[in-house]
Amino acid sequence: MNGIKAGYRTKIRIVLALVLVLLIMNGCSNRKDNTVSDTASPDASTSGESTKPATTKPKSKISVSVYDRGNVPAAEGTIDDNRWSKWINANGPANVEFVPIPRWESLPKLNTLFASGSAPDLIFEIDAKIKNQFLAQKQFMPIDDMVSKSVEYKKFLEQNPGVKKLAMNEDGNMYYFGRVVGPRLNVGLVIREDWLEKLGLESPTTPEELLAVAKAFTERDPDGNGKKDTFGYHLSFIGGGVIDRMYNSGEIPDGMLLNNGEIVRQWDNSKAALQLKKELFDAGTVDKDFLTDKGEKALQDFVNGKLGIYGINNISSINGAGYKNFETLRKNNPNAKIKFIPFPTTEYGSYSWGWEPIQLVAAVNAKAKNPQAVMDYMDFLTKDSTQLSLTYGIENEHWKMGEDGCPKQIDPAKSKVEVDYNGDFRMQANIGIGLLDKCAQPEKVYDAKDPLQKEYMDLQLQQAKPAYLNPERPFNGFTASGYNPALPQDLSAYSAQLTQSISDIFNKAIVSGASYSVDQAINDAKTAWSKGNGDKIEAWYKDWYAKNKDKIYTTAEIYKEYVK
Amino acid sequence: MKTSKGERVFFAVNYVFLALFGISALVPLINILAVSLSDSSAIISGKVSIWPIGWNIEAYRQLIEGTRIIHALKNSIIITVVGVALSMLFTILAAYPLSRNTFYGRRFFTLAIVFTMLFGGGLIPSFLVIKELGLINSYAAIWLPSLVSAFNMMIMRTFFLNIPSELEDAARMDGCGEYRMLLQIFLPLSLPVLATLTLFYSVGYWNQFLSVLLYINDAKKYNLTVLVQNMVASQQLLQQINTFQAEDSVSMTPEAIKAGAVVILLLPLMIVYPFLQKYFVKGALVGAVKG
Repeated sequence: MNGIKAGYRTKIRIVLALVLVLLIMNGCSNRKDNTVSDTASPDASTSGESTKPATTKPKSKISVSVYDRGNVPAAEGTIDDNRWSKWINANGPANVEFVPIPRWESLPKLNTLFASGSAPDLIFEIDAKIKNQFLAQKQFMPIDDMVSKSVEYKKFLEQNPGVKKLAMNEDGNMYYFGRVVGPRLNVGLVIREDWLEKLGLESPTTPEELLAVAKAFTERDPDGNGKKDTFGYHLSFIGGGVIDRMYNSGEIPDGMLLNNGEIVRQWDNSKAALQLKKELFDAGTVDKDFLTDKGEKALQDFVNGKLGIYGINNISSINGAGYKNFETLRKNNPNAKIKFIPFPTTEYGSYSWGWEPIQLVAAVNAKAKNPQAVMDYMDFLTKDSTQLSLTYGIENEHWKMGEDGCPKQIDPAKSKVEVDYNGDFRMQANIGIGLLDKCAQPEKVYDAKDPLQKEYMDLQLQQAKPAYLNPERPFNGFTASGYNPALPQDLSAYSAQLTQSISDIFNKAIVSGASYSVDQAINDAKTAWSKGNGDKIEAWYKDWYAKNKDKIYTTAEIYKEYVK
Repeated sequence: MKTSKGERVFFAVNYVFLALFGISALVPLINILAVSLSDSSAIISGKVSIWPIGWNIEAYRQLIEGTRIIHALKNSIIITVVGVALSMLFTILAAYPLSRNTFYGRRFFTLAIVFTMLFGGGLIPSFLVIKELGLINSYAAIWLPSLVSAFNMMIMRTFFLNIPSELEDAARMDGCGEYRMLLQIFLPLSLPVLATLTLFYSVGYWNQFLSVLLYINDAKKYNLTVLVQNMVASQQLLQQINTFQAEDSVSMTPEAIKAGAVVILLLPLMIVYPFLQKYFVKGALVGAVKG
């Protein structure tokens, strides 16, 4: 240290000495393990505690994921600590630690939890892609063993064999728990009945009639304001999808149709659908900018009385798009009358929009220390009394049983604050069967004394249900779209690519008028298909079908089981 | 000084252009504010542009009573205030020695710190490091990793280097030590850079999303960005028709409430900004060095 001033030399020596001491101390101290304790401790009853009576088993500890939507009222607490988490811990078979997962950001959160080995024992996740990703990484354990030793869930599986079929993986093991949500009135086609009456038209039942009515709505000023500012149809959002389904070309995986017991990649159905869309566009009946509309403009046009035929979603929900849009429409146009019409029938048949009666909701972490406790918890959740309490609240505090056998809320406002936020705790609730289904019918959800609600409810029961939940108008495809097989990784990359490019070709055909015909588009699509490894995809599906045709949960079976 | 005609035209065009640009940046914010104060039917019909229709404060009432937004706001404020205080303290303490050329090892430390600016560890390795340090579920996981931003520290160091050495010499001659030099000479002269960095750090801590999402497990400790993201993201439902959970349709957040949540998220920083802005403009060395 010769170049450094004397005063500094001592200071440097002191600093270096301190650093040395700190390093030594650090190395010698024990490393506290501060990892989040979420792996279950082994069942305490096996540790031979003779002081506890033999009948009460000390509760084991498990961790369960729960979606966090940011909607827990401040007075109730947080999603991992509220009256329902406490209720579950008090009445359930285990001490549950809830791990909040943001509803719409579950993938990054689950990724980091799994990567660091701190994922919860039981994972509730609705998105099939996310679940399948973790399954492919072998993060889940097979549940066949656990289920065969269970009580409630085993009974549930026997009564609903479809759940078992869907939960089965290619290796012959079950990995997912499921629930029955039953047929849901989700997507439909709504037409302005007052406009039909004004112009002296009938509701369209064929594609030609659809085109004619759409044209009339556009050209003959049905809202009577002297301006030509109305659209007959919309191709954005659901509008285009309805036409695909009319021709049996929507919701089918990669365009694969089952024809005479064989899987083929269809083109004629798509061509016919494209033809109708192009005619609708060329006749000026749809908004020319539909490609940039994610659905907001079509909705606004509809509720402002500028759109004659609208593809509506979430029909049955009173809080969601269905009723709210109807309410807004009526507010803006007091004379508006709507009608739910079945999708027009084409040469390929009569169809409706798809729905899935069974949802796979949960999986078990492969590293869970106490699978039996997890299974006991699922059994607890599957029990009717648990589902009833979670859905309606505590008996005599939130509801009393009515004469019709359905729970009646004592104070709806209190239930709204204290019960409604617990939806994610009851992801296992079988809302499609039994008491929950019976008591959630529109008649029970909508208030018959409110004229607007009664009107909407009647429309649902008299028009929407027979049109969309009808075995004679099934949904497209040999099974529900969510139950289609997942392509292997390389093929699914090609599939995504092809879906995008074919959709671009079709959209180009719709908007390009005379310069790009439907036939050209179909030829270009076929070329893109064969150049983009479409043949490999078709071969994979044919092969898969040959191996799995009796394991598929077919459309016919679904309707037979759940649409009575 | 008389401006020539050409200059006046130039100024006029400039003003018009900048005004339009400013308004176009401001309009979305005004729209959100209007939506949060509007009636839901009007929002669905798309009638709300810059003025609320069907004025009601129902959305705010529901937010404050029905959700944890006030708690989240409190958490955000704690994270930001403590974070900024710690960050500024350590940035100053790091920048000052690196700007003095009598600091032994100055070259080495500067290079080492610049090196960290080149690349980061990635998501999973960072998570594993935080986990091993035992910081999961505590705010230290948000404060410690981003305590000193190397970039900000370099800015401050450069500023310190640009303070004339005559001031330092004059102070040394009067017997000034290091701490006094820092506190009483350098810092008062550095108000612009202090204000700038305070603002940068505030915005950074206020907007922390991914680190809170990943490291904080306790829902009581969530900050405003994570809470608002949960509410706003349900907009996606309009696109996803088939794959959603039956419970999703019950808990769809109305547009007015989403807009209200976004306003609450933006408001504190928008209020703080103008107060700090005057420090940017103030001259650094007015009257300090003569001749």
